Amino acid sequence: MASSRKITLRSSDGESFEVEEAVAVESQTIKHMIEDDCADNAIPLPNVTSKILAKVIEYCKKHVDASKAEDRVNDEDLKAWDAAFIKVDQVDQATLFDLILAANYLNIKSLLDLTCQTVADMIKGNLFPVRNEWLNFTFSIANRELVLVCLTEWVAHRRLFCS
Amino acid sequence: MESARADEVGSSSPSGSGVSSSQLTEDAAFRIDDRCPKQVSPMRGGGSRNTSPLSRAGSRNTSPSRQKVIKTKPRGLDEETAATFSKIVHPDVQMEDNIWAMLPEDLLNEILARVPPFMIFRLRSVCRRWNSILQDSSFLKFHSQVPSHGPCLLTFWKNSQTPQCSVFSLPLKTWYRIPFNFLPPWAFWLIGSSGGLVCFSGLDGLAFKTLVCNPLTQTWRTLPSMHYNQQRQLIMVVDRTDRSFKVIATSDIYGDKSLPTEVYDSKLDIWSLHQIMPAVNLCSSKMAFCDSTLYLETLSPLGLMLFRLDRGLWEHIPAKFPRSLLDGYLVAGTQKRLFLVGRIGLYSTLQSMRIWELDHGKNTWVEISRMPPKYFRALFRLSAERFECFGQDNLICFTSWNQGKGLIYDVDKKVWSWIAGCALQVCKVSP
Repeated sequence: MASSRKITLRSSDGESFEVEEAVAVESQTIKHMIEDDCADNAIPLPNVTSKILAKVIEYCKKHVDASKAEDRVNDEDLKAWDAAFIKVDQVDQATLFDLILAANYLNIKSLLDLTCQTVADMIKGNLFPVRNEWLNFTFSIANRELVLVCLTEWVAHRRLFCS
Repeated sequence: MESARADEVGSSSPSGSGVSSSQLTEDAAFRIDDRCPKQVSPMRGGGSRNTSPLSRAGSRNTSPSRQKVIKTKPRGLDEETAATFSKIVHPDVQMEDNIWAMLPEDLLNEILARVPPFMIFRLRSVCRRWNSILQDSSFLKFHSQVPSHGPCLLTFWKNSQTPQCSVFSLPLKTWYRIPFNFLPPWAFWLIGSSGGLVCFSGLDGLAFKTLVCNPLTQTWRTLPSMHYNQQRQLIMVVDRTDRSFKVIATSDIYGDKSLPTEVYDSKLDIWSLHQIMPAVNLCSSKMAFCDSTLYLETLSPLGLMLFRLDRGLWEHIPAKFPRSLLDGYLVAGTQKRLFLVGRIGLYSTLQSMRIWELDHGKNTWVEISRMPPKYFRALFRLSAERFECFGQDNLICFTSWNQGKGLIYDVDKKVWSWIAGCALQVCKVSP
């Protein structure tokens, strides 16, 4: 059973957040600080603003609650919550950027995974955008030249040998 | 565009087209939800007449005491086999350059590790200030260790002037669109692809030309003219260990068989001359290349014509083809594996699509798989349906453009999968 000791976290702009220890130790950084007995008073987090810290705490709380025995949240539901949490119109790019830095500094692996994957997906969307407009499915191809198909496998190289 | 489409639709089966276009709107709307949609059978509404000989036979053989469940589900794709492939990458928010340029390199690597390796090369178009990182040798070294991404299906769509390229990544089960407007306009005919390189040929004025390009890096190289520079049957093969490629030119497309076989080597950037193909009656001009050997099917003498690349010589091996074989597509597999794909059965209702593998020792074709009848019917509504069959690396791909569908058979896993989603995509925004 996790202890219900409260830990105080102080953001870079001086705001204090009181959280349960179980939530605070989602961050490996904070966990080590507590273990090293630096947590008598508030734990200062000079790299994290209150706005970002609030979001991080929200994330950690949800994940701690989700793993509690009585109220075991379905994996699918948690994933859906994560998706809603990080959705790009909810979280602007500057906030997403700050969340990545915070997740890295606070060493919260699952949040780092989530944020980095979100940016990776944005990159993919930018590189190869696909519109949801389709040509008529049964556009019958009169001659082979119109739609040409082949199978290939991209092999990673340092210098691709075409140029 | 609109009028052209109406004409084309007119030339194909009218009932099929009517159903499919409405079907498409449903799918498109559904996909915006970004959930994996069920593949709704285009057969619904139209063409659901059950002409399957198997079920007819089944009902004849069923004894009266045994209740047979009548399936009312429409013929076509059922849910369990439905669209294993259907995810689409949505055009996302524009990445804000000034924000992401500030990202420390270790975190950039964290993000890029989650981007499919074959996209790394296009990153400079996402964030200009990352360009310098991409030149960094340690970064490149890290990413050159990344293993091959896996097979992708490329589709090239020539819509009047604007060529388009859509890529279906089999590992990711996602369609991507690649800008494809960097090639010279004469590059019109797709020869084939291998190792991520794609070979095109065409006529530049009267001159027959060939080029090899890499759609990801948007680089290309026009090959020098052949010694006998006519429009010839070509095949391109990549040597992945050597990082080089070769192009082999056999007879010309009009049948002039007196031309010496020529081989282009990318390391030397020259064409070399080799033996003229002996006079045989070929089944078709379709070729397959594996184990440093080019294979063609011959009618008389019956068998396979081989061109050994290392020796530059042709030889013929007798091989009996399956009886009542209607078409015969040769598809190369990994290492020495060679497959023959085609339909058996003269009568449309009794046809089946089968796959054989060559037993090199005995020079006989051994049947290894058959397309499940329901897939065959879904793919080929009419027996004379035009289809393409090609493949590599033990994957065999069937595409029926009248149906706008693709089906892939994985020889190793013995799995049939549909490629859902239309390969033909209109993208009005140029990336």
